[in-house]
Amino acid sequence: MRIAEATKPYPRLRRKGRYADERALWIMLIPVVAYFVFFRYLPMAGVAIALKKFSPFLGFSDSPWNGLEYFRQFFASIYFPRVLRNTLVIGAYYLLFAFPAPVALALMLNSVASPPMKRTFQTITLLPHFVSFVVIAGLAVNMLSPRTGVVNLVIQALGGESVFFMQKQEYFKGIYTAIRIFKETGYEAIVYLAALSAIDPTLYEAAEVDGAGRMRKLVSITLPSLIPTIVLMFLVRIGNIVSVSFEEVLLLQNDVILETSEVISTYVYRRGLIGADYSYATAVGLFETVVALALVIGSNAIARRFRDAASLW
Amino acid sequence: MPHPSGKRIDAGIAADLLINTLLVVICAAMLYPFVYVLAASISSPEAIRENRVILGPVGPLSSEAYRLVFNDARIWVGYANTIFYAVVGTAINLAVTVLAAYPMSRKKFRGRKFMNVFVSMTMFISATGMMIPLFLVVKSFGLLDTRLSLLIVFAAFPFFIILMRSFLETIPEELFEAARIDGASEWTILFRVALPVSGAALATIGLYYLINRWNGYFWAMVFISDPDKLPLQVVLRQLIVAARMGEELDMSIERAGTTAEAVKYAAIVVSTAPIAAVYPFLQKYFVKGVTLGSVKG
Repeated sequence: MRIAEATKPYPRLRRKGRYADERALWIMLIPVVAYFVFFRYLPMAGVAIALKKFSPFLGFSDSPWNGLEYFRQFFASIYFPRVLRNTLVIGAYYLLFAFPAPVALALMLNSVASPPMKRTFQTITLLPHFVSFVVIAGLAVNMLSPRTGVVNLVIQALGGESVFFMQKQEYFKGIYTAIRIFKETGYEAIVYLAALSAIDPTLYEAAEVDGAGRMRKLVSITLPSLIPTIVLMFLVRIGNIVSVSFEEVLLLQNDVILETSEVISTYVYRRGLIGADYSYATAVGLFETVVALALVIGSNAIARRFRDAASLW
Repeated sequence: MPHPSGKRIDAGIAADLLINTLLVVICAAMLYPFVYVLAASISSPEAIRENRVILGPVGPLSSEAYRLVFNDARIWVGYANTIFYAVVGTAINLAVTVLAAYPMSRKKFRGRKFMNVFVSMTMFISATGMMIPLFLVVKSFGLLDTRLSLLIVFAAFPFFIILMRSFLETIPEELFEAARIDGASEWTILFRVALPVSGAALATIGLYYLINRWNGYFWAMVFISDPDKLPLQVVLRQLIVAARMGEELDMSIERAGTTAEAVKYAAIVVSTAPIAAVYPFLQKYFVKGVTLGSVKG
């Protein structure tokens, strides 16, 4: 009896003569497990083709093992330093320029006194987030076009010479970062706005009684309350730095500016899916995964320590 | 000249004015590309060609581009496909997400720990690392160039399963206990107790999935080659590239180039309008999604 009770779930309910049916829960999970096995775990195991000389004709198991040959090839090629540098520099640009933008926007939105105006501003800044990359990339190329783009019309109006932005190696990373700021600032501001609305209003009232001005309240109350969120978001972003938004880069780049725009993920796409160089591309992808994983685990560890420290404050 | 009522209030008004002006400028910059596209789509092809469209539409107004879009079978087929992928795909997404999250949220379920690890583990491998193997798996199942591929390869995202699970865990346990004592099966509890109080979470997660489906481009481009099955975003990309080729080859002087350009703008409007029209009303759910995610990892 005791053993039976220990193995049955929900012993308290069993006493009432009702079995909570755990079987039903497992039945719910059947499609879930099937999905994960076929489309999440099977491809994960398939990463092993990085170590094989994979041939679609021989299939996965019959393709011969090839050791670390493809990794060696990648590290020895001119593409390794190029795509790694592009990926990291774009990531650094993001942290430097795109990361502070939503903080600033949230602070500005937060200081708008009238709620309908605040909501209108927020709605407008959110718009680009909901528009597809395909459209955003198309618009960007349009705005930067040498003949019809508004940017060049302004440059010409100011007496400058029209620039073919999308064909110039040196501009790609800046353009990409600007588009990121355009598309995601409004969305990324939400988390900071949530943090701002969580600040206890009595703090401000007390500060006002003490004669604190606007600036004083910003420096002494608002910013310190935001810092935990800022640090956490920063650590999350560092973890994702390698996973540059792949679709955006792919849609923006063109053959002329590949040298400065090719990142690890677009290189994997070009070699693997366009060039059908499956094993090599998988090896490059695996390299990316390892670097990304190290960054995520590292930054998560720091984030956790920080969160513990923050909760002690 | 100092204001008689004191310097501080003066500075406050100045700061407000500055911030509001800045926000207006930012909003104008964010709206500009969309206003331009809207204006260009109804302007005369000549005006676009001669670069006279700057902000508002330039006459004589023409609905020619829209007529071309509505007569273009590719766009219609793409639209129908996108609606299909978005509706059926989101339904599959929500079903799998709920079926995973509900058992994982039951504290006394013995498979709970295993399922949590089983689902979370898959978040650690990057999309780039999975790209080629996933393609090969889909290929070896014979799913390439089928509508089914897009529907089931992305049947659920682990992140949203975890999000839904965290939400379900916040429902008071007494509700479930009461139903169990009344003899309800787990299925009944799921549909009669858990889901009815999960409206906000379902709406939030469903919206994320829906937008993802509507805007998805890359995997559709990789998996599908039959024009009859392509979603709108892939068709749109083809139109944009065709129009750009026209411009780069400086063919825009000819009629073919101009038409491609006008059709491109109209197609962008037609494909983006549904989401642009709907998101302001759903904004609160997205805001909720962000805060929902930060409650518990």
